Amino acid sequence: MNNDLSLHSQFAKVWDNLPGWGQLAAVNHTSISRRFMITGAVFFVIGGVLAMLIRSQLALPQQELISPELYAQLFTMHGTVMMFLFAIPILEGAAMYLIPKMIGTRDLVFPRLSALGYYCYLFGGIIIMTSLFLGIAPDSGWFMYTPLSSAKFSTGPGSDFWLLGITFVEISAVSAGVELTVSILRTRAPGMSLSKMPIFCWYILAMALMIVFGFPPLILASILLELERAAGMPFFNPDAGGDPILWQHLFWLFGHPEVYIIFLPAAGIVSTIIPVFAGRPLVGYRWIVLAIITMGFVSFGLWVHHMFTVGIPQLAQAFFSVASMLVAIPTAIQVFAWIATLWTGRVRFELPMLWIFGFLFIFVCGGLTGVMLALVPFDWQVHDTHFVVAHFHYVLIGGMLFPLIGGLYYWLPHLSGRMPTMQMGRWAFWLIFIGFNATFLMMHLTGLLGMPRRVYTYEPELGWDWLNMLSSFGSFIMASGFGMLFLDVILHFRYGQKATFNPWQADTLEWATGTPPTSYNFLRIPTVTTRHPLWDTPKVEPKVENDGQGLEDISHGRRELYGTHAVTGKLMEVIHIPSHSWLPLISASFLALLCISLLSRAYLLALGVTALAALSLFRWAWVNGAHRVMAPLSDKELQRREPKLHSRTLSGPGLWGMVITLLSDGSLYLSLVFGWLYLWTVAPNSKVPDVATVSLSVMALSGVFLTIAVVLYGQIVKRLRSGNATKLVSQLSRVFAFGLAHLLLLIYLTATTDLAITTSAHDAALLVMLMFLLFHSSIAVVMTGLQIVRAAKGFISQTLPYEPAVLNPFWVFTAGIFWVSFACFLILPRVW
Amino acid sequence: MTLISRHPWHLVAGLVIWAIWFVVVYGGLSVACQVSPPNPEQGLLNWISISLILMTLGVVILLCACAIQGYKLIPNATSGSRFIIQIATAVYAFAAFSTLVIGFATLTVVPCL
Ligand code: HEM
Ligand SMILES: [Cu+2]
Repeated sequence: MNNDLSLHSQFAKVWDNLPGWGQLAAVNHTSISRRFMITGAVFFVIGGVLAMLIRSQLALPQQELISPELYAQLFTMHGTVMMFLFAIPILEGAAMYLIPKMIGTRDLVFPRLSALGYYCYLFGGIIIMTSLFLGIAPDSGWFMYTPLSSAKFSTGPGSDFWLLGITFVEISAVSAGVELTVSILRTRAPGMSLSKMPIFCWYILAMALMIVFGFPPLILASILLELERAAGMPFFNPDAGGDPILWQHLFWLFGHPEVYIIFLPAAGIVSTIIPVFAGRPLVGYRWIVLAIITMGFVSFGLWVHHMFTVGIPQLAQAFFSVASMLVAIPTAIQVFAWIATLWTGRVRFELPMLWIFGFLFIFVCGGLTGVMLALVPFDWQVHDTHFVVAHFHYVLIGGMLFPLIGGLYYWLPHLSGRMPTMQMGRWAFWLIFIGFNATFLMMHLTGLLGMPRRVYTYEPELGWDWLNMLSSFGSFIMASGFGMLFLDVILHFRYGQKATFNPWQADTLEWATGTPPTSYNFLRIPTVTTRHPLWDTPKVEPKVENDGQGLEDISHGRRELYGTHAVTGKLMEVIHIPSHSWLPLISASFLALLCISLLSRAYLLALGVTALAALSLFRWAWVNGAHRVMAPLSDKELQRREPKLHSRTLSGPGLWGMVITLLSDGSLYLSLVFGWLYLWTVAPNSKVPDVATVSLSVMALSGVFLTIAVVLYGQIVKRLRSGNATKLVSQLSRVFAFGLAHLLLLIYLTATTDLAITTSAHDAALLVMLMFLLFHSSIAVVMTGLQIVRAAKGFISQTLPYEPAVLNPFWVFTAGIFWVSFACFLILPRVW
Repeated sequence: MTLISRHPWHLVAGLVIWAIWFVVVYGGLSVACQVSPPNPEQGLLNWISISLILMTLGVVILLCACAIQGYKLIPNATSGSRFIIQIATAVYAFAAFSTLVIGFATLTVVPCL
């Protein structure tokens, strides 16, 4: 035991955050995820206050509490804050907190990225909120439809705040998505095969991948709209060959998956809590995995159900209507599995369960109105009325917030080391439950009676008066419930009873990390042999074998995790992760400055700040990977009985992170190709784009150089794989030279091509495509240039073959998008 | 022909095929309606409906074949790969079902209206 104590203090020295201001340099997942959750809760309160203002204004007909202008800002900001600054970040925060603990490891794989993500979120959120305090907040609704949000109809900077701020926050969401994906796939405790993974991890894996694929369409759309507003590039203007409907497609291509991105983790909480309180394993684990996978996919095929009223061909509407109903199948599978688990178990009625029952009731109602809305003729009646508002609050509050609060009470002992009690908790629940139904049940009726959403007031005697009154009254009951809830949680931290080990008798590993947990979670990484480690194996311990000791040695001073096989969970390597750093804060600050300078249209400043941001990001990349400060080569590492460090191999988290990031990047690119083809074929004034201004021969020559660079780079990696690392510097230099030739030609082409970017949406899209290529080619060339220096310094060598393997997919991707662009943007219109 | 194995790709392959089918059918329909919309009086006997129906049937047959093959693999699978094959089979089956149900709309609605 004594031995363990001194070990614990040695571990703490390596893993704990810096004291004082040094906390700002923290990267540890427990610290960062707590910040995510607390910040999210603050935004929830802000969003809630906005909602109360809205309901106060609507309580009586023809009130003049709030001006129409302010009202528009309030509902826009309410939706924006709740969706982007509360729901997504708080769920990601919860996932970042729980995932490493549940899969039996010590941290997420890219801890500095977590920190960057947090600061992007925080700064982006603050930037967006300032607009409200300045009275210039966005006011065209949380989905920012053009032309309302365009420069012509939204003259103030409101839309810019939304477009830039939200894009900034989305960097954070996507980076967390990448990180969670790689962590779940590559750092599970040895032995935890996919089939032994806690069900919550399946949900989060699906959510993370959906973020990776689902957010880029909106990021692209925001960039395009901001370019239209700031530079007059007419993507959404029909007079110049653009189309406002393109915005709707891109928005909902993101927006519908988004609602499932929010629902899945919440359902994951439900699937985790129910078995614990039913005292039995979840019924139908495989069925649920099936439901998660199908939900993830099908939810990408539903977006047009938000656009049934814009005049899409009937047959296409029918496709989306049927697809929308199909998604009820996986939902139903889960609901039945939950009911069956409760039915066959012995249920303990603790506080978290109260919220789960509330969830089941409300969410099923919301799902039913969803299926009603999926019927096209019905949707034509109630689209843009309060019926839709009622529907999505039933699914969002019932489907996300209730499980989240259930989860909060369930995992509170983890955060505070204390137990929640029923006394106040029960009150909070009933106030919120009753208040919620009073508020939103009424909206179904006002909606059916024809009350449109987003109107700041209404005439008396339309039959809406008492319903609105009741709805506003209900919202105050609900608000008092939330007050009670916050009070309960705060008091809990002071007066709650101390929690014992694994207080709910749960089956998953996060309860083995202690309440509250240490910064490194596990002193020894356990080996997992069952799906319910804490039920089936009384003592979770590493299986000490020749190839692993549970990483209990810390004398090297590195933060280490186990890297395991994505499917089987077989132990593969030791992953060393970076420790605390100021770089994330610095980089995020520059990015925030960039955002602010773009907002104030100070483009020269923006250019300077971009350079600084790039500098700090390259600095970050420089001290990463196999750099000496990470994991210097030593003889000791060969003597210990653990697998190799990942930077001594050709496959590690970096490679996986690169590939997942490229998937996201690819989704962004495909959205661009979609936009191009859309403007060409479907836009109201569409015609075959005239691309004669772009020189084919220069482009082709540039592509040939690029292809040579990629082939040569691939050969370097191949040779490294076979253990041959001679002449690295000269080989990398050759790649660099060809890459540079390609890049210079591309720059020349872009600079000399005469594009009418303010009068033709096609030309504007061409320019965006060229900039997209330039962005990727420059990064590939600069990174290769840096690798030449790294090879010379010995960071890339026969024993350290890691980094080229990471950059290789990026080169391949760069060449891929180049040739696809060549074909789609330049050849296709010529041969059409 | 072996269509399905224990590779984890099959966990999602069925739905990836479904997604590609969906994009092709929806995108193809939109473009086809711009390029050469059929005369509505032809009813369902027009080039667009017929190609959509044929495409749907082809994809459904492919997905069913995968599902059936997966189903036959289950009894002999090792405990390590059984999980993957079971889920993959179900995903193929669900994808086939989705394709069929969504594709069914082509039999009821005349395109380009
Ligand atoms: C059975 C499943 C569901 C179906 C069939 C469904 C269907 C629909 C339809 C057709 C609309 C568009 C209504 C209109 O604007 O005219 C809609 C709106 C919406 N749904 Fe659902 N839904 C389902 C589940 C969910 C879930 C689980 C969530 C979130 C957790 C959700 C969140 C939303 C939101 C936020 C909107 C409104 C967006 C806006 O217009 O501002 N839905 N739903
Ligand atoms: Cu939707």
